[in-house]
Amino acid sequence: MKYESVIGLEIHSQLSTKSKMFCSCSTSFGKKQNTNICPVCSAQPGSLPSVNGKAIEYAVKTALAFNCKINKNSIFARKNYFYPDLPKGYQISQYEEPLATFGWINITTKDNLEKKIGITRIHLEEDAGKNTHNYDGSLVDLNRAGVPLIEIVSEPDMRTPEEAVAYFKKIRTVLQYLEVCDCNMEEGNLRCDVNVSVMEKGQKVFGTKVEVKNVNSFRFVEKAINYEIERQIKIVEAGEKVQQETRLFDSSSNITKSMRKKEEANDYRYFPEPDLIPLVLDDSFIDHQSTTLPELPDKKKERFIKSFSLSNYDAAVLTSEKDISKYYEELVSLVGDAKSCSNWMQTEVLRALNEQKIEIVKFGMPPKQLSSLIKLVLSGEINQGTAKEVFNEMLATELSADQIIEKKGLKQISDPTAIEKIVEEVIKESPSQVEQYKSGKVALMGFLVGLVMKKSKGKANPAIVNELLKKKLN
Amino acid sequence: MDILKYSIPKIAKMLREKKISSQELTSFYLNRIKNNKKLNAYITVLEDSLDIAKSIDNAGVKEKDPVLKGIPYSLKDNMLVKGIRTTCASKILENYTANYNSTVAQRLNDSGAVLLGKTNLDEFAMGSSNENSFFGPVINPWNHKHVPGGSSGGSAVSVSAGLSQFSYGTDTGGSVRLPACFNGIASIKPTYGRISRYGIIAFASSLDQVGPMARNIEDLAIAYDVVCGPDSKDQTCSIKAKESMYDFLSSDKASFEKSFSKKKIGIPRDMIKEGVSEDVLKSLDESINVLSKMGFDFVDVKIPNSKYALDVYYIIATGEASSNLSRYDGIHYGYRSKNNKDLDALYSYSRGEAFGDEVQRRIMLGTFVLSAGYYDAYFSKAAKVRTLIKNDFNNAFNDCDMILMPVSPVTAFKLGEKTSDPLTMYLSDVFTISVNLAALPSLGFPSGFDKTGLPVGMQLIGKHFDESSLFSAAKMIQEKKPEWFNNVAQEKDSVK
Amino acid sequence: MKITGDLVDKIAGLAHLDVTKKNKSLLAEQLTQIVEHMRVLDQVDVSNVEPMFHGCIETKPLRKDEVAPFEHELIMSSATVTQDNYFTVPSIIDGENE
Repeated sequence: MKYESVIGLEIHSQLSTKSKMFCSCSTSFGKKQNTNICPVCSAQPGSLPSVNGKAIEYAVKTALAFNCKINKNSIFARKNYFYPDLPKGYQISQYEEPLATFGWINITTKDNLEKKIGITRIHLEEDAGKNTHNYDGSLVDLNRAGVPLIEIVSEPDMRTPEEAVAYFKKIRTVLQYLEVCDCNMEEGNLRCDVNVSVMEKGQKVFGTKVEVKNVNSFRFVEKAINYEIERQIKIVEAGEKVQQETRLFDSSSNITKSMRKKEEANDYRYFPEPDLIPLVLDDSFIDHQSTTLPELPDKKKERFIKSFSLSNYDAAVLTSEKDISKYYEELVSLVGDAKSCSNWMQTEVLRALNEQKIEIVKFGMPPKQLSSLIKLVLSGEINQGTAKEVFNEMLATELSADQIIEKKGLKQISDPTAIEKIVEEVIKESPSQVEQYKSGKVALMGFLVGLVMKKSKGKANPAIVNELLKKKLN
Repeated sequence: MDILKYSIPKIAKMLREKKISSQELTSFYLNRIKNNKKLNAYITVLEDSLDIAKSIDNAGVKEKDPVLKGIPYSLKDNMLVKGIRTTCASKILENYTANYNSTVAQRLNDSGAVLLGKTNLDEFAMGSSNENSFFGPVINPWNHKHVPGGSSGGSAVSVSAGLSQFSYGTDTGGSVRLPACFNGIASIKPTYGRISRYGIIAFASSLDQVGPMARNIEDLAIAYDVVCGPDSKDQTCSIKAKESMYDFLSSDKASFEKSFSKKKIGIPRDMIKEGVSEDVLKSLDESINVLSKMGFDFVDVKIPNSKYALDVYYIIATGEASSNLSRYDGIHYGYRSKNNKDLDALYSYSRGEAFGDEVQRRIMLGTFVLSAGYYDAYFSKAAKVRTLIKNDFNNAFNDCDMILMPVSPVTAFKLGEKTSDPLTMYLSDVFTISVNLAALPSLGFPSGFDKTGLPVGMQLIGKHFDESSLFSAAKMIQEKKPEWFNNVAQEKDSVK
Repeated sequence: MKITGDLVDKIAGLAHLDVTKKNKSLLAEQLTQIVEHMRVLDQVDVSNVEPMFHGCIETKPLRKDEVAPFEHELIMSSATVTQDNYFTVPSIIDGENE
């Protein structure tokens, strides 16, 4: 590959406050159009913004989690442009003095290496409303207008679509850990614009960047970047110049399209918002936010490796989402055996979530229930194969492990006299195999064990079966 | 009974003694409004204010009730009163009904004062003569060929012509003090942040401040007291607890006169040079005389950067205004052009057809000073020179406690005299705008009349949040010069 | 600094004001005159001077995150044109969201 791509992301995350950024309207999603509105967010004459303290708290937490330098004197600014979903004719955002700058996070590349991605800035702003279109015009709903957002702008530190996706996922994980964003991408809680350029490998000067807007899923980020890289390389190879422009990702055809905006539309005439005094944050506030930060994914992963003796891979999987790690930790606290809990999580629980296409919070089997099943395996009451059967039955019926084992009579037989009886029966019924075994074909042992298991309907304790068979035949 | 001679405390007493009713007061003013329609002071007159007065009378005005209960007033039509049309004197809001109360209106409503109507103004408070109204110019009641001053011309006229007991305007660069001066009444532009701007239609957010107007200092103090104080809905409104100016003025007179014996008043001679009329200069000398006799000392102070104030002001005010007025877009409320084939047409025709010339000129100017390539040389530069002006005042206040100067270089000019030349019109504000830029309080008081019988006015500028010094001095001036106060304008041909 | 007809058009475009029917040359002339007057600021030395963008600078408590519903019907009833409780505008062809 002769070319290298340079990628930066601008991620907009909706803060999960109860009320909007500058007014007391509800932020709840899915309400009837234009019912979560008031004089402030619908820009009635004379109305004034009033900063939501919780949004500031969430934004500072986020900035600290991304190792940013917090600006103790940040200022709100007006970004002026006309659009029907923007009733004031300007968006209150931050421009020259954002809330936080100079942060970073680590991602894991596909070669399993850590890579540091720089975060240029994090700033606060308000969301716009929503325009929809029908046959004779467009319709405007302002329910979303004024919902608090933070914009997280990365450095152009990513070189492949995979890295961009890993970064986006990592941001999402951290935001979930912080509990500052619902991160529901379908509801638009987390949105992403992508900056892509290409250059010849080894070059120091980046190519002309193109901004792709509204790339709102991990899959789309990958597709949009791949499309852009291909498109831009074609332009360069044809000896032409890439146009600096804003494009829109079309998820139905997986291509990006030029937005053909007028040139003048880009003069936003930013200036400090005179209706809001500078946002002054004192040290004690910042310290408080810092000391009350929850354990973040990287720290948690380290701890899982250390105290649960998990592999790097297992720990990464189990900390990839806050709720998964929470489930896992609860399971370990009930069961005790961290390694088998990890196996159960990865082989059964995550598989079931995948099949049902649900998040772990909606999973029908709480850790308590699963723990009793795992404990039955560990104590030898049932074997692994039976346990998997019971697990599926539990999901289907919501009965407890004990109830299913009881109902189906699946309890493992560990009584030597009962097993001895079956063993004797099998020896009697398979004289030729017994003969061959005794003449040296030891591999037949497995076959004989299988017969015993079958006869016991899988309930016999395999270890005891083995032991008794050996004793009888030798 | 001559209601127009009475102050608010006197009327409040009469209401409690049942010597007068709120209905009598209200219909008295409503009649005068009707008989003086040609002054064009009101955009909307609230006939049902009589019903409100009636319910107040029925309930009876009690001793403990707020002093303003049952007393009629008017509001500039850029302050929102829920359920009442608020036009800002613009075609773009011609039919707009406010859907919430401004904090000012809410507090007045809570006090039981009776709102007579919404007064005329320069469109979006942009103007110095009140000739820029969609509803036509306001007329100066002292001489009908002259302007009343702007932008709160209707409010000033409602007080000076006896069409309300007291009123409120907004002052961005002198819009309360200038019309009050041209009308011979008292006014105050408080420290920025004293009065909530919530529900006041913004012109320039970092400069706008509500200001009361009245025929005497007691009324002014009461009108000031009721609306000032912290408001969580306006983050630029100060959290400093309010102190009652009326209570302060009514306190032991001897002690506050004594506390003033050593106070110094600065005169910025370097500002009061070119273009100041002889009558105004004479009046300034007379005010100095009065104040000297009361024991004040005078010093010369310098505000060197005030020579840039006009330019700084027109950059900052128009820059902010260009953004503040973006919400009038024909989409969410207000005038929508029929010429709306596409979105761009809807925007530019709605705004182009409904904003008046002066508003458009200022939007253009404001858009220019904020635009790419010009922001640093204009908007950002102006904000820095603004700091220098504020510092000049701070330095001056090291040598004095208050500053005295005229409100305007001239008395009320003729209608149409300056409309063709925006820059000359802007120069009317040359003495008032520095105060807004520095966010200081300034109390305007009437100081007699010029040769032609038009009122002259002075202003006392104070330190940040030191309104009490201004009120005290003004009260003392009123005692020495009662003939300057409680005047009701009556041109020969006006109907009483 | 001369405000030319082209610059007037550009500013009017940004401000979304239709000035075609107005006397554009008079507007250009008036704006030029005002802007020329403003060049007086060029002579002021403002190095190391902080800009003053706000009228009041005071630290104060921020708003609590509490929901207070508003009579939203009032807002929709003062809207210019509505359809099914939406504000309406001519069709927007380009660009979802800024």
